[in-house]
Amino acid sequence: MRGRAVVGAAFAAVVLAACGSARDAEVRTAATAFAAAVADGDGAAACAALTPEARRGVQSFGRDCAATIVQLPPAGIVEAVQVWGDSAQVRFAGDVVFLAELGDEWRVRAAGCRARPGAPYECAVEG
Amino acid sequence: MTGVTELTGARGFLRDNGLWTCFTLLFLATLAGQSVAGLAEQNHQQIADGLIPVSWAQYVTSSDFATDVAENWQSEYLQFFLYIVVTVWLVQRGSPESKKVGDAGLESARAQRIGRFAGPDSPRPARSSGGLLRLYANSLGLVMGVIFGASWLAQSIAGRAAYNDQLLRQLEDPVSWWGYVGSADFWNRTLQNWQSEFLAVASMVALSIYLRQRGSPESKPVGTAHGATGIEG
Repeated sequence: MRGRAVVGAAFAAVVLAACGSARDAEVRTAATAFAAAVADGDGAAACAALTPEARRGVQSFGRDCAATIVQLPPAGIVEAVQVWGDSAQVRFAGDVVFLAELGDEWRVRAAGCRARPGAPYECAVEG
Repeated sequence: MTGVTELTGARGFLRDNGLWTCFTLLFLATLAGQSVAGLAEQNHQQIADGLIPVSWAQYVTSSDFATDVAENWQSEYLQFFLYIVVTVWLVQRGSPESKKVGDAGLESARAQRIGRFAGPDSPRPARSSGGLLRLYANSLGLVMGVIFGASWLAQSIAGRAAYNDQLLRQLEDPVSWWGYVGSADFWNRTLQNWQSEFLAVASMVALSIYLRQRGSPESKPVGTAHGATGIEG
């Protein structure tokens, strides 16, 4: 009885870990695709990867999303991924990107983010 | 003294276990109600944050729901743990919730019916000695304490997940487990629950000195003097 409980708990831990790493991989893929689109100058693809709120933010004051988004600095390689609930943060060598899960896909809600001590990040793209 | 009518089957079970059944059903009903109200609040917040509303199944398996449940459970079991243990040593003159003044402490083996003073209907561990007896003699407090510890730990783990989700939505860095258990969010949730539990016990101890509820074992008999201690109706 005790052995079965231990096996059951271990199985649950493995399943949870697998689910967690699968979500990490999805977030990493979405974030790197966005960063690659920006680096390649593909503004349309980068804008398509934004949440609707973030896209509206970029387009505020009559700006063109595709032309504006490619002005973000290069992100570099992925250093860390954190996923909590339907929110995520991907730390690149040159940027910090925040993502939100909308349905079955991850979208970028903030990019070009600069840390501020004791305050939320200040982001060039935010939604 | 009239005898108890023998009932069998479901009627017998309900008659003999009515108190537990009533509160278990109330617990299940209010937990279900909490899940519905909590889902509505969660989805209000989802929409405000530009996210998609979640289903009931997604909500009841979320860290937000787990935190809200665990933070209440840990405080209830802390209340019972402390109440069970503290009433061994502290008394309240006039309260039916207290032992008689002068009876503070673990009491004698004869009074507790253990060892050679155990009766034929005493639980088996009561007739034993050494570690088994000590464990059984403290089993109620121990179990309450373990459940408190486990649910407080669950609150810290689920609470960290929910807090980090919120931090990310606010474009802030998530925190470690140590960072969360030292955070204002964790202690605000914990202490707001604890204060109400301790207030409830203090109120019950004090009010039961002067007020009565006829027929309840939680009250002194209606005609019992205010100064009578440790007498239940």
